[in-house]
Amino acid sequence: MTRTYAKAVDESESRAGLRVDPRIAWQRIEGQVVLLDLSDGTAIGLNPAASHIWAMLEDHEEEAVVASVIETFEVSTETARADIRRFVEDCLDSSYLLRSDAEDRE
Amino acid sequence: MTAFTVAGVPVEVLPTGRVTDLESVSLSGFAENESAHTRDDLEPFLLHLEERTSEHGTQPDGNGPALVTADNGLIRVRHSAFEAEIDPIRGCGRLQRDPRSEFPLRVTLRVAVCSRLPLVSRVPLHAAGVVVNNNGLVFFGPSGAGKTTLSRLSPKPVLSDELVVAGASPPELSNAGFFASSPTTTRRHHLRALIELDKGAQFSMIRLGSQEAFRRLLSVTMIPASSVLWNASMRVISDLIHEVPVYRMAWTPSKPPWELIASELDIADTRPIVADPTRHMKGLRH
Repeated sequence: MTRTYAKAVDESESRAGLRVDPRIAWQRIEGQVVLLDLSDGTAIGLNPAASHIWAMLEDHEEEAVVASVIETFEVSTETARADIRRFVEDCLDSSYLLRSDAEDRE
Repeated sequence: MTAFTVAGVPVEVLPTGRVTDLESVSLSGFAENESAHTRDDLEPFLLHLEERTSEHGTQPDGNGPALVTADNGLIRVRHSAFEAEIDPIRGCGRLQRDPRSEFPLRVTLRVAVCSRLPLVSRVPLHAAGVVVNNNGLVFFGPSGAGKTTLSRLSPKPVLSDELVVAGASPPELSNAGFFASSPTTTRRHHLRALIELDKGAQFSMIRLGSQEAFRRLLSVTMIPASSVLWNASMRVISDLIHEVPVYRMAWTPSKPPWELIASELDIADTRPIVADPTRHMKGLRH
């Protein structure tokens, strides 16, 4: 069975995946993701690892994200999983990402 | 005329019989100015007019600016004298307005066109546009940066000192049809550079890196706060900075920068002086 990463973050809460909050627009510029918070016009640049994870989150399976982080950044499986989990939780805390069952706020 | 083009976006206002004389006059400028720039591959944006009376005691074009909001991809424009709903993706909208003024139609068209542009690979920028030796230059920056001053002092044709439209493929610049300085300056020009204005006693031009250029252009992109439109806009800006250099220019009004800009960008006017072709015919005339 394949899973999106969001399901692994909290399987008990939802079977749905993650999606970008409607107030956030984003674009990758020379490898670095820039998030634009439309509620206040703030632009936020992600570091290379975060950019890599962000760009894969919406449409890749969990294992594909982990494998890509391991290969790209030459880290262990445990480190990759921990880094991805921490990044996703930060994005959820900041409401850059929503769980798919959350309501839009645009 | 109820079918016309604004900044390359074809627009049709319906029903024809509901367009007032005041509104027709306002629209005629677009038709005359840009009829040659219709993109055949674009479906027209359809704007349906409805009538309503202004709230008691309000003027049809008064009571401050309109409030523009985004909701699930729809753009709403609210004002005491009118209310509009715009669907830029489907390419249609509805305007309920007091027909005693052309202000509601003008404002709604501006929002509709700015919303539609990113979906056709172009972005509206809060900036001045100047044509230097057939090269389009965009000058942008925060309020007070000098856009208006630079435009006022320009010996070169000014497209607008307020709102211009930039495209990346191919790099091109035009005015947006609103706030245009001259009705004769509506055609598209090759976009040579985007220049952020900065104040300084000495002229200087520094090319910005991609990240900084991208962020600086985000701040002057005039798109309603819809993630669909902004994702499209950010793709256009990304393409734009890949194709067109972005600079920061320090300047002071006491030292006109035009020759220095032309030299820096290698766009000095080097056309040879062409002799009067009728000169040799004088002896043949009877």
